[in-house]
Amino acid sequence: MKPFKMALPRTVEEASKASEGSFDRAELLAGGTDLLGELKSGIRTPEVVVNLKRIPGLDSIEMTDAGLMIGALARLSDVAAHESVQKSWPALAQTIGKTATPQIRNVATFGGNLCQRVRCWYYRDDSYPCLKKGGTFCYAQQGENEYHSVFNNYVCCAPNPSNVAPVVVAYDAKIEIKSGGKTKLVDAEDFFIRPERDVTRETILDPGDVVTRVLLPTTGATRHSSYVESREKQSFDWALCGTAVALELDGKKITRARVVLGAVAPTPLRRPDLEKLLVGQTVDDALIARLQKTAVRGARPLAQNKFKLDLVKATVKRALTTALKG
Amino acid sequence: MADSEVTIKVGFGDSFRDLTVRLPEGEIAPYQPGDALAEVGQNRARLDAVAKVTGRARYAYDQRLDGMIYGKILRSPHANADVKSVDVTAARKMPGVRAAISFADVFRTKSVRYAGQGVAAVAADTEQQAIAALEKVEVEYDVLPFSVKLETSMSETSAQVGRGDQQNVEEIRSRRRRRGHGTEDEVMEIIAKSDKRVSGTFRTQVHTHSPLETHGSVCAWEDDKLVCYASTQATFGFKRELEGRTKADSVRVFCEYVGGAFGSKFGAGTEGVAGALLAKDAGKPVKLMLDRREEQTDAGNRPDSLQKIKLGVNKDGEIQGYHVETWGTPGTGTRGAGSNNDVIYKLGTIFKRQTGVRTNTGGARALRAPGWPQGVFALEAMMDKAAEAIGMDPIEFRKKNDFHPIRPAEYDIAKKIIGWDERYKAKPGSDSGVVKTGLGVGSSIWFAAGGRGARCRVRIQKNGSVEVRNGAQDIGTGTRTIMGMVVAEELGLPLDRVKTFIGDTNDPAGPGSGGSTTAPTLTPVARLAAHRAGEELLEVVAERLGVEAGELTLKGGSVVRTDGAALSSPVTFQQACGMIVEDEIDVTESRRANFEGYSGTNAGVQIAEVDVDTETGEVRVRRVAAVADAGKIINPMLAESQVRGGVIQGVSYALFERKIMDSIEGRMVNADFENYKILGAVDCPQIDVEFLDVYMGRNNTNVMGLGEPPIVATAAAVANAVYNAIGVRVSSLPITPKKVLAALAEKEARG
Repeated sequence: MKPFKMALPRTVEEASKASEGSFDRAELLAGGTDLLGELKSGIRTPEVVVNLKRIPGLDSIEMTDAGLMIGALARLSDVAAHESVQKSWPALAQTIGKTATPQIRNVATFGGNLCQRVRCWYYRDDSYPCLKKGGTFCYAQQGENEYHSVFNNYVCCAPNPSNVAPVVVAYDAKIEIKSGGKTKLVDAEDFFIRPERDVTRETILDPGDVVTRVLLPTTGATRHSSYVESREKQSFDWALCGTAVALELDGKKITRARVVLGAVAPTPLRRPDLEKLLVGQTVDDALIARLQKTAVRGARPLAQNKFKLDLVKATVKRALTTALKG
Repeated sequence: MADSEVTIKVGFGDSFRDLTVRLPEGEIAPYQPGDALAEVGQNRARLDAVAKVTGRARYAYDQRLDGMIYGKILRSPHANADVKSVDVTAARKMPGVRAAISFADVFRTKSVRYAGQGVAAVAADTEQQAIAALEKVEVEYDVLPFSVKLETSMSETSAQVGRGDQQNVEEIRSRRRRRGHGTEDEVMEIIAKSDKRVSGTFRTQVHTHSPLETHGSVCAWEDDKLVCYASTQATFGFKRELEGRTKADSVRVFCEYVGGAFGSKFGAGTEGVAGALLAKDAGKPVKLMLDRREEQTDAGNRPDSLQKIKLGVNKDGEIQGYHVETWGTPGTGTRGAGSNNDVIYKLGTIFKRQTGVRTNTGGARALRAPGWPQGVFALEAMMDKAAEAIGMDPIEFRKKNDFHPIRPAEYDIAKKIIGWDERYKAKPGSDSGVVKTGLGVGSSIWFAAGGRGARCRVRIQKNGSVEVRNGAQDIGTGTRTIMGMVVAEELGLPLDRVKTFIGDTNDPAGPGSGGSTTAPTLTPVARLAAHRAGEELLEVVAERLGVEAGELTLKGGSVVRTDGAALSSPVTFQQACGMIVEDEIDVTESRRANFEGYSGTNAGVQIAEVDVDTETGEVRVRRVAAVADAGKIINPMLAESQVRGGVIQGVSYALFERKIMDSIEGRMVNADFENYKILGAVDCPQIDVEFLDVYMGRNNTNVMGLGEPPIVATAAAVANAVYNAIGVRVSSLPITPKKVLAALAEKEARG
């Protein structure tokens, strides 16, 4: 780890100012469970680490008329335990229950989870100058890619590792970003960017931007929602593939649907094609079969990860059937 | 005194027979069935349990000596290169740096054959300064092509891993032709003539030790004397290596606690030697412990394997012939590449060819039952295939080809625990749902009766205090505790009256914790020393009371008469000690060879129950029934812990762990605990452990080792259970979702 200065802002404005310039100069620190690893492995060497933890109020979780407001610094464990989350956003509680370990969930923050960097082992190893580190080569394309993306993987094939992100997108969440004195609200879906746009980052955040809150809107789709993932280990592992589904129902008929895949593409992958198949339908085996077939359409598996297509099919089916039961 | 003959009972359960054994001069007879033992055989919490869970136990990693500075090793980023020069001049001038050494000088390193091999080391006041200084070490490499995978090294076009005329692929010739082995032609003919023939190809992964405490030490010099706090499983091995490497007048190694070793910590290693030399150079204590990445790349592993086996069996269940070829990569060498896949059962006439394959990867070291889990995985798959080919129950088939005196009883116990007869799928894969259940069996054998090679000191002081000392370490099995227990038993005292001292090479020599021999080596010699010290104490008492020493014994904290009659006046142990004329009784004993006993090997049977999700390929091991034997069980609680640990590590090996090498740059890409996946609490099965207490009669405590045997059969049992669940075999470890899905797809394609 290279020595760095730590800034301890008391307000979001101060934090924004302290992190202006470039990501090489300043990094934001929330729970630190991701950043610490990057600092220790030497792949990030900021001059300043801007510690957000002394800014009051950023960790609140409040029910409002618009929906549930989750402060960016709310700990994952607190979010999962929140009464409203348990009752009205069950997929979020499910996914956090699968995230990392209890110890990490007690430290890691909701905003930090959405902003975490990819886990690709070539990215995380400072001896590989990969695209994300300003290099000219994606090692995983030709190298060890069993855990990598099967969709949109032409440039960088590191998948978005968050299992909270697909759920947040499925819930049509809005993410509040403050920069300087300004505040903007973006759709969660638009928060994540593809490598084609900028391979060196995974979100729209610019230097000086601070995620402050996430709004989960109250809609009819929250109760009939589910997140299902598959993984190698049950204790402390990353998803091989996860699917989040949120439905609005009229009786048994689906009137609105959101389907988002995780861990198989560089971003949480919303699937309007699958959503279209569902809307207006009552789910039966034939529909599920069609859905599974469509789900893997457009995939481009790499040499070692074709099996992820089976997992897309399995988790899409299970997330849908579990959501219907909700 | 001379050698004497004594008739003892040997056996287990309710089946014992008389055996006359020759006791060497001074030896004592083994515990006998029905002996009224107060400590031995009882559950006792390990003596250092509280120290360990409260953090009071000080490991090598925890040592903070006055003025201590930090050592770091510079490692090659290249998988294969000749080292033209190493220059540490600039590094030595960096802030805080107190010493710097080139491995070209110290270890005569002329080439690096794997990424992560050390080339230089520095010591500085802080770790940050040491890391900064490493960047200033100038190394000139001549970078060469490399091969990091078994398959690529075996191909004609592979880069050469070694130097000179070293071939990548080299047959390992066994020194002698083994009994029951035939020529390749003979065996092929026998197999061809058998009623049924089965064959299989098996692949296993590279498995790293992954101890929580990494390798390394804290070294300090006082003039020419070296004192070293080491993380080791062989205090005396560590000492010997440093004596040879450092020219110290004397070396004293301390290791009271070690945070895991599993076979990788027998020597000082480059890190231990570098730490000692840096400390000497710097004139200050140096802490040099590996970080996790260094640990995973440069501190040993279980080699991978490729095993091709053919087996011929007759309809009556008798195996006729067994033909096996194995390949494995123990890193840049070829030693240790073998797989033990032709033992345990009567396999008819055997032909075996073993081949080592060099790769540009970190070298193998013994890992808990080296050669066994991978070999038994293949062997037990073949046993199941053969049983299926002749339509026989897999356990009946194994019994038919077993020769072990203990194992048949263990099959029956394991079957009962898991409900084999009701729940084994006669038709594999026949469950109807998405998640299918199966059972699988595996067996083990081990050779751990211990023997000579240790001395033990027991002191009884006038004030009543008792201590036992041996300089060997406790690798985590509970060596300290069982040593104390046999001494307490012999002196008729409760365990808490005995002070135990281990892990200091100034105390009498003890074994390295290898081959599961520590307990069978140390407990008999500790008992012998305690017995001798007790005899001396009784002589003191006898003289005072005017009786013969032979009429007295120590029991329940008192001196009592052997004939059960009351003493004229009661004498407590404490009072007896008060009668000692000198200040103390101080006995150091050693043992000669073991006796000829009943069985020189442990058996062991495990049955695993798994769920396989046929849509996601996820395997969950639900339950493992582990039936084990290790001679007489001194402390059931500790022994059970040992078996659980073996099963847990075995399940982890079966499903998760694997070293992944990148073919582009030749580095390990998962040198961490994130992607080198180790079983966690949720992945842990229910483990039902049952022991047979065996009176094997080979040493005076009847103890056999138990460190390694419990991992031998686990992966095999899990793999066989997966087959039983889904009706298609995954012939490669670890059994990941990817491989399960591929096997299911293959099954479906076959129709």
